[in-house]
Amino acid sequence: MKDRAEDSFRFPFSSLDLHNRLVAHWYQFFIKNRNYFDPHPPDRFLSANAASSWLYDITSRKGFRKKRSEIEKNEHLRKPIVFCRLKLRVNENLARINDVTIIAEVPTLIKQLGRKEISCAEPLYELGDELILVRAFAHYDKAEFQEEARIRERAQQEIDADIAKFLGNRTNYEIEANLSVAYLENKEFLKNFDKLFGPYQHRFGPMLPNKIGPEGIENEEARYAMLCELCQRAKAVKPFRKFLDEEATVVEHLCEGCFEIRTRQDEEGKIRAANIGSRIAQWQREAEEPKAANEKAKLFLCYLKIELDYQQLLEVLKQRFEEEGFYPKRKITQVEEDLGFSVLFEFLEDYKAFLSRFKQTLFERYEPAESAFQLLPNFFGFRLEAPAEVKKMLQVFQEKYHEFFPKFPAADPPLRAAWTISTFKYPFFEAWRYLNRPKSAPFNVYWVRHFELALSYQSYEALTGLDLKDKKRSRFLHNLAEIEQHSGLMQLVEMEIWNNRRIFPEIYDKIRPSKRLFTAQQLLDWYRLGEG
Amino acid sequence: MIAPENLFFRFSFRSDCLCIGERMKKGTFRPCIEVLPCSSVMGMLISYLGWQQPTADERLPICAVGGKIDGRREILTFSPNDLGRNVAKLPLTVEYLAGASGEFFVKKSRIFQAPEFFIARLEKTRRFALGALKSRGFGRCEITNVATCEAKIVEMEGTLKSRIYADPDFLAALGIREIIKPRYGYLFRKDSMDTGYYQKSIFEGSRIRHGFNFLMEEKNGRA
Repeated sequence: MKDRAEDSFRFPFSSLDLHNRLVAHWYQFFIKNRNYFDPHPPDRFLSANAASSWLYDITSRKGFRKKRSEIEKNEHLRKPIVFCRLKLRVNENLARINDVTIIAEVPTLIKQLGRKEISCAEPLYELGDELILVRAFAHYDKAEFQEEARIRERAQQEIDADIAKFLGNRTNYEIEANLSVAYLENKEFLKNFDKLFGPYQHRFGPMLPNKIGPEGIENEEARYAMLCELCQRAKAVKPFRKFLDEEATVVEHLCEGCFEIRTRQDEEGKIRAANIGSRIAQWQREAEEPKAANEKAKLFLCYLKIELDYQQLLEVLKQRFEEEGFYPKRKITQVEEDLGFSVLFEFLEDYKAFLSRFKQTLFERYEPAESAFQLLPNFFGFRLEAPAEVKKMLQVFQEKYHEFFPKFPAADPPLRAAWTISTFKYPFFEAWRYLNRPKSAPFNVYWVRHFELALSYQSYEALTGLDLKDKKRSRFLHNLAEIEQHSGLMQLVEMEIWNNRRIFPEIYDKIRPSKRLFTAQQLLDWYRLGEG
Repeated sequence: MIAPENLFFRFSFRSDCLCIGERMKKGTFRPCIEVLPCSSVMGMLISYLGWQQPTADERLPICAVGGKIDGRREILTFSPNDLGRNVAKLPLTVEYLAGASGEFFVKKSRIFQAPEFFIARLEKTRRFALGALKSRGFGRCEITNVATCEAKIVEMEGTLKSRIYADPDFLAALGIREIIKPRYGYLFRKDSMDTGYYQKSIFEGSRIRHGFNFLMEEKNGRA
């Protein structure tokens, strides 16, 4: 939604660059599936002269209408295609910090999946762990393809088989998907566009056996562990005896796929600098080193993950279309038809740029070599000296959001950011599980064993305006939170604030006009986070 | 009159500290889950009632399923000892639910005719042991209520709120006809008093269609 040269024309939908890229993908799609769309295609393409003559014909309005009418009568356009949105999910029950390599592989796997693994498909867009692709079928069966539900069912079966083949023994991964059937005819093309971006309806994964038992396992390790100790979803067939020198006695009973992962990790582990696990271990050692006599350096581990809520994004884009008045004579319902892939992908390009700039700003403060790392484009780790530094990150996030999406509503943004703060010993995958949980609030902070804070934009704005530096307020804020917890009534909290208005006039002055934008518990948690 | 295939006994229980662990080997942090898997309930019932051999007529002599467990998440760190070598092992941090309360359902069958069949085998305090770390005092549960309930079939789509075996016999006993969006994992299943295997299972959050009401949440629950 940024200003571009091409925006000055009537249809500021997408940049020329993106338009060209989309056309290239559609071209590839038609070439791949030419037998599906036309079982008897011409032997060769149009000659250069014929093509220029064809193009000349459509330059006039009349010629354009005639050609369009010819194309619309083409019965091949009534053949169904399927749009798929796939998200690669990682097993959440991993135990070692070195298993972050499984997460780090996600973008590579997504690229691989989109390019060749799904039959009759062409990827339209890749974004970290997500993939949007368009797919046809190997054969057209007119009788079978009468009902949309039947088409979706067949696509589901075929994609399931392709994904099971692709994942093979990668039992640590699963793919969530949404499928939407479309027809190339004009009016039908984006009919199910919204459904593609709703909650995921399908889940595909590797082939898993019904039973895993001791029968047929000849190796000794199987007697100790029938189930793989890493993925917990396949038969343990190999022992992995040595990971690091200091762990020489640790034996893991693994399946084929996980054994490959461990072997690879072992080789990568030798390059210590590139190993995130080693880096976190180093931070932990620093945190435990005495700073002065009887004093330990207080350091915290923080993870940050940014998620994009597509449904909210589409709502925002529709709202922008209406507000900008692109189609003043049309009805509002028709706006949905115009929200196609080009507009969405244009936003995603901006989103990528936003992530990149956000990272750049944070990495200016936190040196990547010393106190930060990035696992995925939207997932970072930091070493903090105080939890209050999260407040600064929140501020940077807000600033960059306004910079990149100035016309988006601040109140209900489509981006959700979540931070976890913990000690270095806290298991990574507990934080990973929290970060993967769907969030309803735009700002979420989880300080392990302290609190979980979810803030709306309004609450965040109201809380940043408060001055809570005085430590004497701690007891009073705890009292307020307790009153709220036991009574569940904000009126009683307000009464307590009113009773103490002479002792804490700032709280009385600031909270009263805030019109209950935050709860007493949120206020206390924000205070506990420290000075920003 | 309740149809026999829809008749279940609902046992409500509470426990001071209950640890139903997530299956996670080799980690030093053991998170707990807030649902009661059918493997835990059936394992507990078998330990009190004895192993019942399935027959051609009755392939599931006992069919039981757990529900959600409410409680406060707490953490315990302890260091297990290897008594054989007289050394301490790596300290483990275990998550558990304090002040837990939950329920489980047992289907009426030829073996399990009435709740008294189970209660008679417990102490007078109506206590039974469930979950992990029993030797450290965890998992002592007390039955607070027993009721007979008629399970009603929900025809529409819903989210599973328990962990159950994805075995056709077991699914049929619970009225489940279709798994729309599975979340697969494995649960231990006994095939005799001393032996067993891992059975492919569906976990909470899976989307199913047509199942008993106590197994499912509304359609838009998290999946």
